Amino acid sequence: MGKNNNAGGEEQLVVFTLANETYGVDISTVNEIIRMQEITEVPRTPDFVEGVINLRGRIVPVIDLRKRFNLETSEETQSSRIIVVELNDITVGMIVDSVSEVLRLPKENTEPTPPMVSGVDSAYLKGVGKWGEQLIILLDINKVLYKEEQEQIARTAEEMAAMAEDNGDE
Amino acid sequence: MTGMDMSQYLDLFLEEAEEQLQELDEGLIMLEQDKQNVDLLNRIFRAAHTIKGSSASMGFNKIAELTHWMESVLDRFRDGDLEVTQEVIDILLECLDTLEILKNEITTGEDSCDISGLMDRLKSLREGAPTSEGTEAITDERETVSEIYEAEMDELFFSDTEKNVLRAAVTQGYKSYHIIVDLDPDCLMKSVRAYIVFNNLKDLGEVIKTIPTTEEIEEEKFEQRFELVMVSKESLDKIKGVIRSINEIKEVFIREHPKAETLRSYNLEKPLSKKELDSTKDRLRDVKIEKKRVSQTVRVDVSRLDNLMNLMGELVIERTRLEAVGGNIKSTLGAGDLSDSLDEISVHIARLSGELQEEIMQARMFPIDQVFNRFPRMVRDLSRKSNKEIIFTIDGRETELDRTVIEEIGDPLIHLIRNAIDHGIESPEERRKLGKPEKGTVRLNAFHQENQIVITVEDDGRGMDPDKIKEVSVKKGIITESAAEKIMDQDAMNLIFAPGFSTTQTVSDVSGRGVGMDIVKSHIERINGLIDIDTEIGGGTKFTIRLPLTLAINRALLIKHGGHVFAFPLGNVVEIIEVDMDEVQYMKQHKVALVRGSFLPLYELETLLDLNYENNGAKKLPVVMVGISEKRIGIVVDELVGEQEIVIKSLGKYIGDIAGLAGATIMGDGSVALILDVRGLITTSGVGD
Repeated sequence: MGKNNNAGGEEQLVVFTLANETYGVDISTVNEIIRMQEITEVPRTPDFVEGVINLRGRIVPVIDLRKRFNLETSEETQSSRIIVVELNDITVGMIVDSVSEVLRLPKENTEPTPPMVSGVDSAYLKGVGKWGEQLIILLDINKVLYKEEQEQIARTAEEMAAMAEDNGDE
Repeated sequence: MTGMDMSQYLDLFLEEAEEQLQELDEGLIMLEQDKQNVDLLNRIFRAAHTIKGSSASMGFNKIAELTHWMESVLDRFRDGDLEVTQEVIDILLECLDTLEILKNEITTGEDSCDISGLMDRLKSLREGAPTSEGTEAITDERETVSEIYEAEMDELFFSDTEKNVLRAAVTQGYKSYHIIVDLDPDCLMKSVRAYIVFNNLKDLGEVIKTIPTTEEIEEEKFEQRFELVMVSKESLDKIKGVIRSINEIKEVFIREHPKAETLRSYNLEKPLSKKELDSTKDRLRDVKIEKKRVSQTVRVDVSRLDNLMNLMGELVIERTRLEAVGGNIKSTLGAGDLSDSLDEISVHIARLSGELQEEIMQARMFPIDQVFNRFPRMVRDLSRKSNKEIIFTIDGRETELDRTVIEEIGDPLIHLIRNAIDHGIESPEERRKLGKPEKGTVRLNAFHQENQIVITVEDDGRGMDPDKIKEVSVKKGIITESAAEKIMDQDAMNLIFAPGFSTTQTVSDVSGRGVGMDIVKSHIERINGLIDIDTEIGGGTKFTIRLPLTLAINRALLIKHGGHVFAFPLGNVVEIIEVDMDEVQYMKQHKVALVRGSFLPLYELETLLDLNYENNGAKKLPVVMVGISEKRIGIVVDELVGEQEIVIKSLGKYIGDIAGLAGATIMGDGSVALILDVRGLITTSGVGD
């Protein structure tokens, strides 16, 4: 997502927390940040898919990032938020513990991902950034949304379709 | 052929040919019954003529030639020296079939259809035809395709209005010019050049037509060349000079056209007598040269209509919300001026949006005649082939359906009608023995009923015998023998929809029905329809198909289960019953309820959808009986909420398709309710397998 990186080589990030760690996502993928609202469960979806919400007349799926990263789940709090991201025409809400700020991180402050960061599979990450004393884990939204589970969703869908067909053919 | 690119007209040509072929088809069938109808004959003639003209100009010579010879035969009908007999109609219908093949060859790019045999038969019919004067004489002389093309090209792309303008202009001493302008290949702004050409010509006369259309020219949808037809009192050279003086014009071809006598042939009626001609001239004199009239219909891209429908959906949601908020305000603040006026506004908006929705739905509607109109021909052919006399009646041709539904409904109806004739109706001898009228009757009917379209196909044939159907089903391994004994007669009928039930031979021998009934079923399921069978042995069979009016906005039954609200599309809800859970029976360890003599399998919604669910302990529970085509199941739910208009929204690509869910909808309070897909639920339940 290079379009928001200016010539000086900065990255503008939305910074949020999840299980006491600080994460950042490229602001260009973020549509908006909303408060928690009623989520309608959808059966037969992977467990990290919490359901769907009504976002001004649109049906938007919401995923729980803690479940996505296999972190310990927690109760929803006053500061819980849904970060609505959009990528390749797909809009998805991500539940996070809280959203703290928007900041510009110079490129030279970022590094490739070390093999293990705080229990989150490094496959979801595109690096780590340093902001003063703080370490910010930079998420790769594409992988957050799609890795494995997307393949799995596709597989499940195929299986279901196959099942449906089988049933129909009997 | 002109050098211009014809591909842009191909779609138009195919569409038009389709229409005209249909017109011919219908016309010929009617003519067979109504031999002296001159208006009808003229209509048929015009249709053939239109195809001839447009195909010649597109370079589809076989079509042009064939229609040309059809025209000659029709001519002899008109002149009264050939009688309209079944045999001649047969040949003409055969021509239509061949034209259909030729037309399809255009799309597939094949060129294997041989028309020479048919042509010879047509020619022999025409032999000895006296040539009358005027246009027909001209047509007869021109028997090679290239000549036909020359003659027809002139009138090719003219609408009736344009022809009128041309005729009127010529009678008033204007000349008509056909101009072809080639722009310089280096010309950068082609549309601007074209505009300058039109602008300069404006002072000299009136441009009647351009090829391509002015819109396309404005959008630069043309190569180097464009053509135009104008009427003017100026000389050919002057016009040529004016165009020549413009920059970046490579070449100008101009000819006076059409000649006055060719013009007369625009009129496709028989050549006029001197007296008639004079009166026509008088009439034409009254016609002022008018600007091209704006036609009464507009072609709209279907995607735009779909989009309108989506927006309408949004509006319906907001309307529902407004009603809900209004209700809340009233209950918290109590009745008062403010809440009263909000009430009033909300009622008003509800009415307006209702009307708007109606209008938009109307815009997507087609009369079902588009599907029905091909059936008379089919019935005629089938009855001749099977040596059965059939009275075929169609009612409700004008009934309108959403275009998506129209596209799907044709095939199932063909199957049902064909079955009725092939297997339902007995042979004349058999009917005589049974004391029935020798002619069998097949009735096709369409009408609106509440929010549904009902189509019925009915015959007075031999009907279906449930015992024989069971017998065949067991033989084919569709059900076991023990199951067959238990099955109710009405349920037995539904076995004909099972795939594998119908191979023509066995079934037509035994029960007399069932070619591809599973295909019928799958088509109807696809558009959320239901199908029911009524049959009486010896008395006939009636199929009733129920279809939703539209697929985007639906009325739905809202229910609550496990604390969540779900919506059943009302079109799939057959009825609602209450079942005492202590009184359910078991059949093969599965819950069933006895409903009017049929066993209805019962399913809890949570099992069909894999929901987390806690039983609320109630004993008497509502059961929603739902159906898709012939299958019915009962779904046990916690409570009924009510009926409401809903807009189906997709769950989106990220979640994808989920078995049993058709999407989601937004309720009046802003919450999201899942819409159940009855077809998916029934598949999951395994009923009918």
